[in-house]
Amino acid sequence: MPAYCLTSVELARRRRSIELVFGGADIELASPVDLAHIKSNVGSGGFDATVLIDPPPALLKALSEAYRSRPVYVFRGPDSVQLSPLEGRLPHDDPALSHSIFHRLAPDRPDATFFFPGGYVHRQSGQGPIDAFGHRIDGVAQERQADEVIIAVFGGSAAWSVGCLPDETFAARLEDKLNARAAAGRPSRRARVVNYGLHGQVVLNEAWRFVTFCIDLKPDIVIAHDGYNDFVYGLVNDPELIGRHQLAYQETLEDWSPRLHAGWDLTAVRTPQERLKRRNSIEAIVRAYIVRKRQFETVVTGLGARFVWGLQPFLLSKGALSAREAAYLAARMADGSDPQRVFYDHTLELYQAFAKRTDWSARANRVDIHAAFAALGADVDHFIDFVHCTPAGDEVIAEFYASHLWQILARSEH
Amino acid sequence: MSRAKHDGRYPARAIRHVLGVAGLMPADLGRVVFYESPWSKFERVVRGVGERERSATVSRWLLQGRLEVADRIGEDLGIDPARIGFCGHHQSHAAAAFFCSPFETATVVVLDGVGEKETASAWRGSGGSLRRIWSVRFPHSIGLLYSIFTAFLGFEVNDGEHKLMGMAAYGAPSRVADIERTLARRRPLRLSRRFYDFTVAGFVRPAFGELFGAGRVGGDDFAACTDPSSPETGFADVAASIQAVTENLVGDFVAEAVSRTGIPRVAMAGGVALNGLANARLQRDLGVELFVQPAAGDAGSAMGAALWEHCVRRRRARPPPLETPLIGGAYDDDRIRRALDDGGFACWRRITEPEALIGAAADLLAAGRVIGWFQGRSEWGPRALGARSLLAPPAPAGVRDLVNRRIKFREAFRPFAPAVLAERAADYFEIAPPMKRSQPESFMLSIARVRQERREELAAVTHVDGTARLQLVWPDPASAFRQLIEAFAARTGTPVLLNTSFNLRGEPIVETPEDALQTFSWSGLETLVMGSFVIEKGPIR
Repeated sequence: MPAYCLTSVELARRRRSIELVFGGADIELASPVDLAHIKSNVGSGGFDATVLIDPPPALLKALSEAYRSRPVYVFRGPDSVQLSPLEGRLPHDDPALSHSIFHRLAPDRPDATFFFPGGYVHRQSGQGPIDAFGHRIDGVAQERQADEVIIAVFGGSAAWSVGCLPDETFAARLEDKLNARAAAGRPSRRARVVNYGLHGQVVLNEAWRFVTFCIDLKPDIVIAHDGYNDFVYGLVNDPELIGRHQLAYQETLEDWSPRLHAGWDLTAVRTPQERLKRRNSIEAIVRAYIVRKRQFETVVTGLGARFVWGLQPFLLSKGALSAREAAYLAARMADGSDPQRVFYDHTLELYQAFAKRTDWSARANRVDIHAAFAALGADVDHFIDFVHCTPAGDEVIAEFYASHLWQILARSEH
Repeated sequence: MSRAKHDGRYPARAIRHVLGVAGLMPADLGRVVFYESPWSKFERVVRGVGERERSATVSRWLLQGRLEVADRIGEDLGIDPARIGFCGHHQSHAAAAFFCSPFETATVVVLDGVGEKETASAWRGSGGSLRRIWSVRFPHSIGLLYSIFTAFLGFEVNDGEHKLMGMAAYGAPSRVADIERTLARRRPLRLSRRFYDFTVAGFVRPAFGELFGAGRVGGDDFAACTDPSSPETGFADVAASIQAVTENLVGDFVAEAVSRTGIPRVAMAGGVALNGLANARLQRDLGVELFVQPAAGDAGSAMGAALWEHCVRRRRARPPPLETPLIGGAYDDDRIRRALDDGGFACWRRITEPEALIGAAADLLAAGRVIGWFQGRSEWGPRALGARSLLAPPAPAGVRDLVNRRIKFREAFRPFAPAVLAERAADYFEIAPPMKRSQPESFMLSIARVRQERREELAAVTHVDGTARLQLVWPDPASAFRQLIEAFAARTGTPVLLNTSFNLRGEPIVETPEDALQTFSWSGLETLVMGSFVIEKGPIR
């Protein structure tokens, strides 16, 4: 039995997620308690599919057998609004790409990943529409209209907003806020926010993604909402690549990095259970981030767009944790076998060094959401885990970006 | 080399490093000698495990290739496995102890957990020969007894023994009689099978738990306190007691060895020889002249194996005695500069005049600052002896907490060692003259009481029981560390510095400039003096 109860709001969010995937199909929604409960209470009606809420791991096999004749999907975890199949994975948006070599290289990964030039790609379906390359874009981003302002958002999974439904993401909320102002007269142009955030992206991936997918859209403003991935991967990346070449990469997501770190012996691969080790200095990690971000800024501003240098928050940015956030953190810190423990131990020091020891704090285009989260208290859950926000957290982020962008847009109309 | 403490994997990087230092290729090697006999050890291990674990143990050894040592080394170095030989575990230790010592004749004592089968051995060393007099066999082991209590007190075996030693100062040896009840015999040592069983996890039987209760679960953070009702105090008493029993057992064994050889000069090795309190007791109670080679644990056995081959098997002339532990890697200023650039360190100044560099470091220390210190060749062995050190003034007492908690992030109860100008040592410590460069204090391997009238002046390096694990620093015109203490003494009047290893909690001592910069970065240090560079934590660009 899950150790929580769903509020009506949480239940409604899951129903909306189901609608996004299944439209008007007749869906059974159940929260199985034990095997007897499964056999007697669910699966008997004539539904098109069944959706289970956070089934206990011990029951997964029994569930699989009980529902053999019908599609079954689950929400895994108390905060998840992502639908995933009990076995296998959801069909993707782009059948051709789903059958590509990149996809087939990782056929059994339940998180529907594949390996791709320019960095790891994660296509998280089951939580609203995505495009062929995993962005939270419905179909293809439409060409810009003459009377609109286009704002492109870049970043990792926190920019993608894995804890949110499509209209709950900070990108969507930012668009709403800007357009509410536009409707009132100033700034006058309507805004369109296009979300190029994708799981595990570091700044180098963002720059590549900007050139590859976004440049023809000619955005007016580019928001780079990042920091966390560059810092945590920088902790464990190859020292020569980080130190000498400022090359951060997706250490835990790429298929090749465990081989790289095992040395020349390509048969020796770091296992996912192996504890990651801190391999780089604060100076090397922060420098790599700031150097690459300046380059991204140069590319963007060189094309005539405004660059907004965001610093994303993470759990320890908050002034006080809610009970649920504190429980999450305590559980992670108590898990001595967590291979990513080094992330929890050292990320805050990297944020602090970045704030205190670089020229970032003097930049006019910075939006320090990490610092802004220090004012948030224990009364609201802002995070679902160490770095991903709840809808409430994304609302705070949207508000901060909106404040900054109003000023930019107002000035540009003078 | 691997940045993993007590790394048990094949030491490929270390082999290449030492060949590089010597300017040799593998083909230049006359013979490669491994420090123990894998087959003999395998036999002991297989016989020693319980029925259930036996087949898994055999499989593990075979799958890990632990019996194919010669093939592994031959393949790695590209040499004929026939050129690879073996030396007994205690032979390696004994050779490292005797042939590194300044003694022409000596009683040689090896005390450790267990080698192939031996746990303690006594030898007569004379010129180029070493002859075993007698030995004690597994499972009767002073080292294993100490390790059992290390685990009982919540520390990691083969790593936390020195923490147990530090904890002992907080307790009273009130459980000595209980521990002695677990010994079937003290001279020679026999562990009682009623209490110990090396075929089961933890190595103890229920009777042990009935006698001592449940083990400590507090982890490494022992809360030092004097409250008699605190369970931590009870555990500190157990620590003090096993320390006292160990000292007694070591004393018994060495006394017997000396009486059999008639030679009052003792060369020691094996992990137990790193127990500075026990070494101090030997010096004080037996009055022997003691040499403990600085890498007395298994890390020093490779040198011992080579010396055994060279001196005993081939009857070649003994090399000169080991007078300095600084035989590790050295890194010039060009390498350091590259490391600074690659590591993103932009805030540094270079002082190429040695006297000015020493003066700048001494000024910082005299002002109460803690600095990282990286100069010359690294130390051989587990102690930082002034080549890869964190240094601080020896007072006030708050410096200890500062270094423990905010610089190294380690346990608050652990003491720090003083490094003292050798000729001034007797002014500060109860240490008997005449002093020699070969004595354990030169390698930070013995303990002395801090003179009562100096305890305030040395408040940060005086342990709770009034002792200190001092390091004698001898005159040497080439030693920057010696000159630094002199410069500090000229500024403050105190010829002593707090000297602790350049590492963070749970990490090995740094070796390379890159290691040092990473440790500096994550530590609470503000200044690192490395080569001719004075490095600060400044802006990141």
